[in-house]
Amino acid sequence: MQNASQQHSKNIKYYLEPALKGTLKALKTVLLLSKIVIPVTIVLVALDRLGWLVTVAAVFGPLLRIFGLPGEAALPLLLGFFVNFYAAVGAIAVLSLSARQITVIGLMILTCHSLLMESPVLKFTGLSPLVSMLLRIGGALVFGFILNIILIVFGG
Amino acid sequence: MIIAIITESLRTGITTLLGLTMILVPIMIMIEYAARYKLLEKVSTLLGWLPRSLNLSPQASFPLIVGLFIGIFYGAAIFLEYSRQGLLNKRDLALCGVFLAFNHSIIEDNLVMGALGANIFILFPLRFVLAFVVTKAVAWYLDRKAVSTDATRGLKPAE
Repeated sequence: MQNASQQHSKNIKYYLEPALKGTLKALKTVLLLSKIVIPVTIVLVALDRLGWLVTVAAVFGPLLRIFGLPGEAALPLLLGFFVNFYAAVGAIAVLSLSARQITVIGLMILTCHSLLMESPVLKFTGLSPLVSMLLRIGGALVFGFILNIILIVFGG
Repeated sequence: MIIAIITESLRTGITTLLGLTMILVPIMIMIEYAARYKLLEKVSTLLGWLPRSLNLSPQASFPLIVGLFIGIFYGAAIFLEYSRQGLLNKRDLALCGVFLAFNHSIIEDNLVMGALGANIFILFPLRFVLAFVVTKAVAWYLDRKAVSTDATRGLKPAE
């Protein structure tokens, strides 16, 4: 009898172990991400309050109009390209963008992000970092352009 | 002013992080269970059309799936191991690299973007298709180059 219940509790432990392990891993990741997201948020909120976001927007506005994006979208794009995905996430959360704009930025950033970190990793597949960076930056620009046109045509 | 900036950024930052926690916890749990029950091996037979349509050897399937679902770091690590063992040729490795460069950790990335307000029903398929098109184009380029180098070496060009 005692043996059976011991067996039972062992089973539960066995089945729950991945859940526990996964939760711990996720929390560790979030802790790691907080070191990226919080500073990015502080910088962006400060830029906004100091009125510098308007300057950034004015500088990048004409360029980003190609993608149907406002000028301040340059910040999540540049952060995403060269810092990492979650820095861009922090920036998008601060800016007030429409769902349509976030979808375009999202596609561009998903295509091309964390270049400084991922390009060396991609070298494992024999792809030179320069080639993968150029492919991804070019890809992001082309994809963003295409998606913007799709959204205009279909009124998304 | 400074206090206002700090409180506002902390509020926004913590909201973002909480949102990420809600997405990352279930994903990581899923990945752990998937690893225990060898789900990725099963999915890799399901997604067999992907390496086939790019003329990749079937060995490319598993690291490609790992990269797609879990992340580029894990996928690339397996590719490194495979290339050491000589399991994949240069062409196949490079094409997998191109595809994964554009499209990786598809569950996590898309859900996070979705949480921010993006339309993932556009984002997910479009990213997949565009990655495929670019990879196909690179494959065409590489294969054509291979044929022409073979020809200049005086070999019979492949069909």
